[in-house]
Amino acid sequence: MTVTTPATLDALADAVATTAPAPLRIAGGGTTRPWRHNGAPPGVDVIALGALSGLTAYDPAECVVTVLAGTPVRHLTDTLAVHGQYLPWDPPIAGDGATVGGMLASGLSGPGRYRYGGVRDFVIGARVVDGRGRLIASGGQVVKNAAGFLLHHALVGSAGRLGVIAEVSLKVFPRAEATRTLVARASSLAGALAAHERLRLANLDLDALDLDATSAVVSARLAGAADALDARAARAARALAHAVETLTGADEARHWQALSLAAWPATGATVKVPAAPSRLTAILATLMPLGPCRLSAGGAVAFLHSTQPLDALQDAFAAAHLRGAVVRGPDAGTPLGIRHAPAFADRVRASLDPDGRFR
Amino acid sequence: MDLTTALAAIYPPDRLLTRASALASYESDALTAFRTRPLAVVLAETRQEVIDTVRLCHAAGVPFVARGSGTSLSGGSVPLDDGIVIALNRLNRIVRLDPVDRIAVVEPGVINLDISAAAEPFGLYYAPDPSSQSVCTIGGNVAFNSGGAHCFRHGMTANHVLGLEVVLPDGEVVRLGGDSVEDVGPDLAGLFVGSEGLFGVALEVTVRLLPRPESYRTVLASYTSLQAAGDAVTRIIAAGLLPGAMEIMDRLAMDAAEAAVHAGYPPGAAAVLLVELEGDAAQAEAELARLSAVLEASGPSHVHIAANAEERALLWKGRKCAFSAVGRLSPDFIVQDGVVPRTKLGDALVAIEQLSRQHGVRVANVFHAGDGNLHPLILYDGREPGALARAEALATDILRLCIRLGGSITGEHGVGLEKRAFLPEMYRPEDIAFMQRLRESVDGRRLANRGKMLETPA
Repeated sequence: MTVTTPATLDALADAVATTAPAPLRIAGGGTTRPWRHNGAPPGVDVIALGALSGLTAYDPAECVVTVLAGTPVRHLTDTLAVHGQYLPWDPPIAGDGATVGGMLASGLSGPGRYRYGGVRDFVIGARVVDGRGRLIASGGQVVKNAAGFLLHHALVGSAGRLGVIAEVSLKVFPRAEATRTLVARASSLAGALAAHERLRLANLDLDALDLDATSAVVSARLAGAADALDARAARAARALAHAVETLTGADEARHWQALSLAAWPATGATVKVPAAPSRLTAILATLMPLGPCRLSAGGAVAFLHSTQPLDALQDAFAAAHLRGAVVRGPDAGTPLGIRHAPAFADRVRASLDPDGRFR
Repeated sequence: MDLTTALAAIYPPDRLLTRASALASYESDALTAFRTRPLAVVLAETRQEVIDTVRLCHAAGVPFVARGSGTSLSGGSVPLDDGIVIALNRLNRIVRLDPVDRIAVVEPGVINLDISAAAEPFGLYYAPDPSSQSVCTIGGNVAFNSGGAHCFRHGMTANHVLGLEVVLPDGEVVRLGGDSVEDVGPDLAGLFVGSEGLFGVALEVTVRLLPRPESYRTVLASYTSLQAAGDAVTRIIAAGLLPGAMEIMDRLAMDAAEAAVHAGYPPGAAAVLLVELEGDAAQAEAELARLSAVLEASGPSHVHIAANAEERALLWKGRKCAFSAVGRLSPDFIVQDGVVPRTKLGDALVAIEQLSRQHGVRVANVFHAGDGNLHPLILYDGREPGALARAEALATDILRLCIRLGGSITGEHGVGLEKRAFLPEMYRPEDIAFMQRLRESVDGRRLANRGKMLETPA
């Protein structure tokens, strides 16, 4: 096993080309797949992106940032915050050296995806190194662009299997003036689901809406002008129809951190399950016996943390006709349950990685 | 058996067009400069017919192009003379509209605005709103990643398509994505969107629906210069506001719109800026106070806040009809669709004004300022010798200006036939080579919409 740590895009392309045709793994911060600790399997070369770090371009007035893939997410969010801007999808894994490339490859969005969309909705361009060491650009640094194939979209959720994400251009937004979170503890899961549904349908422009299934707690965040928050919070509380705890500032931040999938151990399997409000009861009936689970983005997605063997997860997902994937843990990147016919995916992969190096 | 005979086994005579008179209306789309008569047109009514047609074309090695309402402004649905047109307008069923999950599952021939109409009783709508939304179809929107006026805040078609059923160019049928805004695995639905028909034909599209904002606050500010209007947009973003839409029209465009719909645009202004806030009523009201302060500081000659839904509708009607209204000013025009970084809008407008003077060709400007998406309408009279060539020369200069300023040659119309020569100016040869490899990998025989986007004109 060799580990290469290129510091420039050219060096990265060169490293991929010179290690051909050995299988490759890409190491970001090691926060979704813990290779950092385990190393890669024998015969697999590792390209570490830690030295490929920093902002390539950022004009706050433009609300667009271009950043190298090895840049820590925290560094990016800190830089944006200085200019009153943020990543609206709340990358759930941002600490411990989690990288921008990993953020894209994992395709994970946090609670903030509820209002303005997920990471897929904010990626406007990328540069990627393919399996033959060719540096390829798609998209650009403008928020509206219909020129050429949108390869950067396919990198979202690609789990390092299409190519090495080298640089990413993102649309960013101004951060809201103020936020406030309402927390309601229901006496049962059914009660929590009902309150969650009332909030979702009340057209409140919530910034985030999550439900912790294990504890039957509903959390709703409002964001916007400070002088409008009292009126908005009162409406949200009426829709919740439960005793409400109101959180702001550091308490609010801690509450959402505790709810984040990053709060689960990196061991075991964190599983992502695309969901839909009308199917939540059925989905939770499948997931809850497997481990603690949470709903995020108004029930558009469920997250499970399980210490069950992968086979048991596969069986449970297949039996329930669920589609999901392990997104964190030693098996990160493994799809679960029903799968789509692979013809298009295979052809896309063949164009980027004809030698099958990114496994 | 030749292809036409094989198609006749699938389609009754009234849905397989081969006579010149019947083919005429399929020769071109909204970019009328390109015109080719296809071998045949099939009017598909079912998914299976589309799949069978693609399989027959693949077996026969005959190129095909899918077509909706033919509103492409880049020549994206112009056929080849040895090719087949698969007309999808009759695949226009809304298969499912789920107001709880807030999705619609539609066939490709469904008209963009019909989705919002069907969703309206549930307080929902489909966000992407290209100017042609009352006639253009979702299939075409998917192929060209259509935009509209709300892309900075709400994104483009790719951000609203959750799942697709697709027939690949060799007839294989696959599903991409799903029915949730969150998916697992690479975002292949997102990659399919904007592929201009080169990856095959979408048979079914699952889109997300958004709750209709509780409140809209629409403001019109007029300025004595186009650049001042552009600068106001930068100030609005710098103030941390996130309007749903920001649109600018110059004097020429306003005159055209006024003549068409009497939208009430102020006489004498060099430019107007239309800003729309949306969302929770209390929030929108709070934002309106902040927006008003920003606009006051931007040196407008006049600011008008729409007092009610009727006034708002009228302001938008003028904007939405600007393209067709420009037809009153000039017998012919070319619509450009370049993008510049929003902060370079002022520079771009000054440069376009200079280029217009230099070429002696009039330009009306209507654009999505929040997205940096320019829509210069280049006016000419095709009967005048050399006029088209002058207009095209100006159009080329404007595209190159957009590339130079770090933008794109197209924000929402696509490359199509029109801008094939400019894609290699925007991307490096390595990037184009990858696009070619991807295309070859998906469609080794280059049958799906051959001639578009990646093939430079001879």
